[in-house]
Amino acid sequence: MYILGISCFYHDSGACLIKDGQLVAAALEERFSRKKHDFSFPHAAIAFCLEEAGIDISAVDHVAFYEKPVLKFDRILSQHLEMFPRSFLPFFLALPSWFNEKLRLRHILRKKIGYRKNVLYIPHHLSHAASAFYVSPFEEAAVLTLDGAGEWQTSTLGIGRGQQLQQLAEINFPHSLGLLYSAVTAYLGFKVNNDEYKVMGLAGYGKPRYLEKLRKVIDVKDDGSFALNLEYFSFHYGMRMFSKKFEEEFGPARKPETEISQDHQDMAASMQVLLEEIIFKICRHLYEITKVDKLCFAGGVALNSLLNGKLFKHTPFKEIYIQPEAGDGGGCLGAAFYAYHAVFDQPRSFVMEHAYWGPQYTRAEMKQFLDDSGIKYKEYADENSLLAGVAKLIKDSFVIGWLQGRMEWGPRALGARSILSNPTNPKMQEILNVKVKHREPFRPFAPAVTAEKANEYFQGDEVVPMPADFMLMVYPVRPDHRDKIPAVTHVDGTGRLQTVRRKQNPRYYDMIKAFGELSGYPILINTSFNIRGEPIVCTPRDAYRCMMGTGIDYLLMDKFLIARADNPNDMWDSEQYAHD
Amino acid sequence: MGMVKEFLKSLREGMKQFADMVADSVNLLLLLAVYFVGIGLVSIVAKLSGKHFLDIGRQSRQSYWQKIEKRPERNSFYRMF
Ligand SMILES: [Fe+2]
Repeated sequence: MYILGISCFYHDSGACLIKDGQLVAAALEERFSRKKHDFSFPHAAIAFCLEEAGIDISAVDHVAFYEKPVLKFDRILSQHLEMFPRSFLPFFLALPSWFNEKLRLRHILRKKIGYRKNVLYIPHHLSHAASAFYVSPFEEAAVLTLDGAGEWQTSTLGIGRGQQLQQLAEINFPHSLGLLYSAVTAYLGFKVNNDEYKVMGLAGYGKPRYLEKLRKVIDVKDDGSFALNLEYFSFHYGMRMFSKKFEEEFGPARKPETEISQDHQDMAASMQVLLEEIIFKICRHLYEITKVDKLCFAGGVALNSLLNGKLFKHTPFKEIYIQPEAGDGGGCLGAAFYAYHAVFDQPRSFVMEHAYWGPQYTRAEMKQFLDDSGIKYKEYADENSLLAGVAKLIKDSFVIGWLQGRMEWGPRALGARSILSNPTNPKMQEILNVKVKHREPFRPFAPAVTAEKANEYFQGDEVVPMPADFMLMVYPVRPDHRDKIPAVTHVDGTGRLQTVRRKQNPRYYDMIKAFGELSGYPILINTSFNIRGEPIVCTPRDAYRCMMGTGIDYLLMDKFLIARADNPNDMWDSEQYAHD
Repeated sequence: MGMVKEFLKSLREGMKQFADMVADSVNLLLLLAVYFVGIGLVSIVAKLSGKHFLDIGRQSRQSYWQKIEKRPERNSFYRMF
């Protein structure tokens, strides 16, 4: 049985295909369309999934969509009815898209991909919950979902047992932790639904001075349930996230691209601490009502790796699973697996142990691209010379673009479409920022470490949980190593590590080890392979274009090594066009 | 012949732009009517009778969790609502 999962029309559209309960392929549309956070119908991602399975649309038995459009429309309409006439502008901007596409999925499926069979509409938070539980290694788990908003739900507690997944409690729009975090993101001058991780990075620099004041905007109970004081917000009727009253309380909002002050850092720290406090309470309550010590966590809030790294310390949970695409793009995965297990009553047999579910390119395809484009390159004769050669380049602080195997599923580069460099060089952060990333100095780079060595360098949980493989846990770097790997140690002494197991990605793992033999540290800087403001690269062409438009020194794809300096005619300056 | 073709092409483009403009204007009028007559009237009547569409009140409760007792029926997944 083939089930095609689809999420789209809000942010980050994506598609996945499962066959008899096994994931075949999954990808975000932005990687193909090259539009960051593309939320349009995932035409190219669907085409890729079908091609990967070697089928056409007629072989797909069911399509599962990640939410119930009419229920969501009901919520939007309720907002306008409640907030009339203040909701005038959003009404005009948003309503046409509801009638042109959001409420016409069947028509779009027929027209764009020729699909005429049944469509299953799985509620948004049930899709989130399923996207974590059904692909987790747990037979039984407590399930927590937190995001901005689905149809009505913004937070749910649940329990999964075998094929059964049951929601136990909910909090509905407009009361939302995701929207609260986004409101503070907007207040700090960053982009909503894009820059929340910047607030997380900024939090490391601040003291939670505004924590007591922030408590005014949200009423939190001992069981972690909460209600926003809506006088401080305007997301439910306006184009802005926060109201005038919020600014009266906390001072004027930061204008985008202006200087970041200590106040801004303190606000970020306060928001992060408040979020953690609330979620620890929610988790303790969830444990109380389920008595299960395994947790599956999904929804955009589950991407807050700083929070995730502290969960075991502050809650009774002993094991955790978070799927690499915990946000809305991953809803398609949950919808497809929910349909298979819960609706069609089929047994579970799949665990998502790695994130490599996107397209890959053969050696012959890469060679043809290089030859046809007249690109100068060399090819390593064997694996050992590749590992030794590239490890030496990294040790010499060159910046390496790394395209290997199937593209990652989810927002993080995890060693398939990554930029790798030397974490032991104290100047590396600066070098990367000048050459490639041009990003705010407060944002740390992430370390990739071999899984068995993680505890040697990081004060993580005793058994480092699987979400760390997806870069979803932040842990303190052990104090005696902090000045040895400065480029990946955040100002607060933490690192957002990726643990790498050989069975997931042998060449990447061996590369980290080879660098460890040269430098004494089996750790690499791993940052996403993209031009600022663009999605992560997908194809060899994207990767080459990215290297030539930035200061990346070498590109390694399969065993081909391409030096930027050897191809001066193709150089261009991506910064002219870059935008965050 | 080339000039005639060019003229017809420009004419077609102009007509299309005009048609788009008319369609946009009609849409705008329709949206205005829906918002101010449809949404507006219902909203005013609801407010007069004390009905709320969103939970924006600030009454403190013991817990804000709402229990979910009902399990969705299998057929409900084929519906958009
Ligand atoms: Fe969501």
